[in-house]
Amino acid sequence: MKKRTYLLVTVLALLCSGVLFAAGGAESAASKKDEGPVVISYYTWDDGSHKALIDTFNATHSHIQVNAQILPAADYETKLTTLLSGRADIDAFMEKRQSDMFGQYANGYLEPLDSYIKATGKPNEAVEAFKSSSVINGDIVVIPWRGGAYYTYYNKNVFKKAGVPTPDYYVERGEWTWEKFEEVSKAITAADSKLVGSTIYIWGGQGFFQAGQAGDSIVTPDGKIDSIENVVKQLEMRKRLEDVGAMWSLIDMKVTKLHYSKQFYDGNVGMLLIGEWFPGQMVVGAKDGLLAFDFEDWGITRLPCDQEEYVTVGLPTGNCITSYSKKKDAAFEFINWMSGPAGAAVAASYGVLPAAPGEAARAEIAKNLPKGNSIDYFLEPKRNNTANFSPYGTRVETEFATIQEDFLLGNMTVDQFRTKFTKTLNDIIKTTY
Amino acid sequence: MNTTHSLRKTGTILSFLLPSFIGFLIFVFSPMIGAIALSFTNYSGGPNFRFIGLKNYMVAFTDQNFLSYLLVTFEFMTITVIFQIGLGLGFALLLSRNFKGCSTYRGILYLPNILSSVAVGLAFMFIFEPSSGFMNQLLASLGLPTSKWLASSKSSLSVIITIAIWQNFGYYMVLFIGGLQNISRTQYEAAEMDGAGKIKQFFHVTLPGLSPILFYGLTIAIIRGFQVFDYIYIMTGGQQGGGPAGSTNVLAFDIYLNAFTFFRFGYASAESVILMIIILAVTFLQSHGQKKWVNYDIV
Repeated sequence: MKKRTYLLVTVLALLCSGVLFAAGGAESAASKKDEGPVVISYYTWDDGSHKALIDTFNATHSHIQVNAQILPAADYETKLTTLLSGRADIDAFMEKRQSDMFGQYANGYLEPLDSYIKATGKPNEAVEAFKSSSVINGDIVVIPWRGGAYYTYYNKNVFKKAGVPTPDYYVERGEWTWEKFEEVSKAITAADSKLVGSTIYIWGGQGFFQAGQAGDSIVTPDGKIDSIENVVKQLEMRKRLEDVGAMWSLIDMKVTKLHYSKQFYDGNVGMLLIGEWFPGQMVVGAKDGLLAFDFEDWGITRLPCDQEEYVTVGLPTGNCITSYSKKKDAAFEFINWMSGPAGAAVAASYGVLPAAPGEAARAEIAKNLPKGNSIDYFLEPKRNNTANFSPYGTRVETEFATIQEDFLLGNMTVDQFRTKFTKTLNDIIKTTY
Repeated sequence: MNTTHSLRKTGTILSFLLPSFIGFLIFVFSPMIGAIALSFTNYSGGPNFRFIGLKNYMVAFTDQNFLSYLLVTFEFMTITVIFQIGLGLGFALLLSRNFKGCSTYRGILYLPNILSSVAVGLAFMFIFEPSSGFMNQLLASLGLPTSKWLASSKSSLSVIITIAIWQNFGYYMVLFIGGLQNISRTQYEAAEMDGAGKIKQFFHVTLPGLSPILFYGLTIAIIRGFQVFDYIYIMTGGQQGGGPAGSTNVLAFDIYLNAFTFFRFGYASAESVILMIIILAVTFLQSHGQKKWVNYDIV
């Protein structure tokens, strides 16, 4: 009896341990049995336009099916890195933080796409439009599908209430500079203290608009510090605006987790400086009844700019193929489609600016933007600088965010900021190995 | 016969311990060895990494940020331990005797401990919201000055410390109630007969009798204090870099940032090894010091 008990307990214990290993194998065993179309595993984050693109591709391509794996946007980069490290079943993925590509490339995770593009017989329009941010060490590693550009989104009602001309008035006269932006922000709040002149979101990269437009790199790809004066200029402007309540406090936004879309939806903010994906969020906001104003009561125009020739900032969003994928051809067909005219049309129907918008996309985008000159500014050809696109980019932006907060809290002078930020940049360069 | 019986007994015991031990090996010990190994490399999440010796450790000890985060961690640990143990002991003394409603009071004070720290963090984040949070509204209605709470580098750490104390002191209270109820009444009677007042009884009967539990509580509180992460992540901006101007950045949070935002897994592993060594050292000192004040003989 005791021997039986001993054996039973031992067997149970081993079974429990065995279950830990067996579960992992079951899924892959099942998937091998699938026949029919080539099924590729594609990772992206939770966004309505991404789902629509995948569904449209699946409906129009019988020989390839995309099995979408959705990760929450907030944890996307972390989870993706963990999955790549574990060699998870990923054939292609969308790159959310573009500077991560340097580390992924160094670790051999990214499949160079030059030969695939060459096999199509023509250059990829989206890659050509954003060449500098699609190539690492001479290899094309990503195919952009969403264009990178920042704009000024403005609420017409707020400007009407404040009795101030809307930003496009100044753009048409060539007067839409950062000084004018500051002036207009203050005028809105001065007219009505319940109105906030403008908002720039909490991400570290949002502090580099002026630097990006001026062509500064902050830290060059080969590890040299570029000028930080434009960063200082923008930060000082931010502090002046926050001190009089004409710009939403960065720290308050961070602490309360107040999203920029909610700020704009609520109808008390005059201007929001954010990227090309925002019309999509406005479309969703309107559909969900979240807007405190009519859809026609907002507009899009250029980012404020001090340069002689207009230039915006922003990196494109693109797709990569994993080097260890066994279905690279199918994966390439999908990401190539997404960057082409058919994918662009679907993206545009969600208010998203495609990397290479064709005529069909332009017509779709126009349906999702307010009437007037917004479509012209949204789609006009423009130069696009990509500040902080380097192996140091992520750390520069995160460390800057912390020092920026110290400055905005009044804990340091401008000179102290310069000293601390420069020292931090030097530390980042020395400790990137 | 005796040997066979003894072997059988050992085998039965081992087979009950085996599942937990395997779990410990796979999920605790192996990752720990892995982290120690990675701390000597420049691992960034992929196969292309190399051995770099003690470079990560040298960088950590010369990094201003690392040292300041260590200081914040010590500050958090020290204050939370003092108040968690102090409040836990105080309420335990009040509630260790049976009186009408004592179970209800014990339950109410212990309740925060069973809540998820993430849920608590989120709830208090809204309560302490600087512009429209409940706390500032309450203070304003009473004519009292309001505060920026989590939006200020001067007050954010204090807010988090307060919440940590509030949520956790109930655990130590329950621990100490158990310890107090195990102290024999005859000890107090003997002390009373010798003319000892309440205060002398506390220092010469209660504290020595409670010392083993106190030692355990202190050890756990210190270890937990060093490991704090969840409140910081939830209440002060998570992936966006922590509290205002880094004022709440503790070492565990810096490890998270370096590992999962910057993908400097090698460096993050070195930081976690340093943290582990610090915790081990403190625990060892405590363990060594217990001979002087922990009394296991009192029944």
